[in-house]
Amino acid sequence: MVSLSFYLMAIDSEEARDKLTQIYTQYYSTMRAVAHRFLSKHNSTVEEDIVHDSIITIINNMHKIDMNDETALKCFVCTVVRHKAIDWIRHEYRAEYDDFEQTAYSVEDTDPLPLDAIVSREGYEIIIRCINELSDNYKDVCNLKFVCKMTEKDIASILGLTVNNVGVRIMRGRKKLMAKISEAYYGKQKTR
Amino acid sequence: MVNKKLDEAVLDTVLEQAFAEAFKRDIAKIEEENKDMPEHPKKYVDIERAYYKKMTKPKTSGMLVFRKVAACIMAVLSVGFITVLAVSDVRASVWDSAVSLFEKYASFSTKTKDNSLQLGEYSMGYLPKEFELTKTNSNEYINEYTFSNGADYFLITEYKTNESKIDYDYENGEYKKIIINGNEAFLISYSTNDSMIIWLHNEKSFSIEGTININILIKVAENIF
Repeated sequence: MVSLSFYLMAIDSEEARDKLTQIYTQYYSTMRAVAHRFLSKHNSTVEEDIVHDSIITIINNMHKIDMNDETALKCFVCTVVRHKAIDWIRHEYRAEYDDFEQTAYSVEDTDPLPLDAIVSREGYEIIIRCINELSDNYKDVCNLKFVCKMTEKDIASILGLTVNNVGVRIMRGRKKLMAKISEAYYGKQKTR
Repeated sequence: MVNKKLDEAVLDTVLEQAFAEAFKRDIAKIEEENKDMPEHPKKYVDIERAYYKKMTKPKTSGMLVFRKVAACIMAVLSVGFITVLAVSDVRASVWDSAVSLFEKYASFSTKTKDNSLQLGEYSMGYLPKEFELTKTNSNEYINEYTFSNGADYFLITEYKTNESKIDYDYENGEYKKIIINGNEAFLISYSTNDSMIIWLHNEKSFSIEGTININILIKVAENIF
């Protein structure tokens, strides 16, 4: 376990050091758990390395975090860890994520928007289920966009992507989600 | 819905809520599955913060402070010294003081060396370089000591007197009053390059005359105790 004091030395302002101390003490075990979820099947010895990389990224993007919004803060931390873990898996076991781009292009526009589906309680649960089914590549950028309310530029710098790529992922993720919701809701209605 | 922009706004708001909810549920599930995951021990946080502060504390050692203070004092003294020396009177005074100090030091060193000499009741603290006692003449009333270096000479005369003032014929010479060890004395210079100093001390009259430099003559006189 890398010492907190090691990370504190990389930070200039006292305010940022307080932020990191809070994140580190509050979410360290959650970060390990997220890393474990993705890496347990592959190589659990790198979990700590992934958490370490994530903390470095968090330090570099500390100013973009709203510490008062606990959900956004936790989402940001976990998304960074998840993204790092997926990156590592993609690098080590390329085949598992090779189909990502092909599936992305296969998404078609769904018109009209399935608002009927999302305004009901039942529809809301369907949305959550569809979000969980969404690919991690879309989920990461969408989490930072919708939960952390970050700009595409900030998301790009955190995840190491281009701004265009982030924009494309958000758009495709949204379309894919709409397609899933329509399919789940209207498909379900038809069966009634 | 008719207004597509409004539809998008509603959808975004719902998605914000839905993504947050999905995230919470997902993380709750992960945390539940990994209850045994090690937590960062909270008791170490304070220790680590303190360690960090210790490691990054700027070093203000006593030596550093001392150096700064010393540098400031030196700067002030230098500026003050230069300012004072800019005044010509002060500069002359400092020069005189330095010369007198040097002379004092020189006379002191002479006394401690082997060339100090005992002349009857008195000792002679300063003997010019290369001079040596060549002749002595003493009786009940008078003591004479002649010193020479081969080329020049000087003669010290000590004789008893009841006079309280000095009478001396300084024909062919010029005189001026000087002070020798707190006693009034006369310095007489002759055109023949001879010089003489006469003074009274404890009912004795002293005189030094010779062909040596006047300043050396005065110095010899001042070092007779």
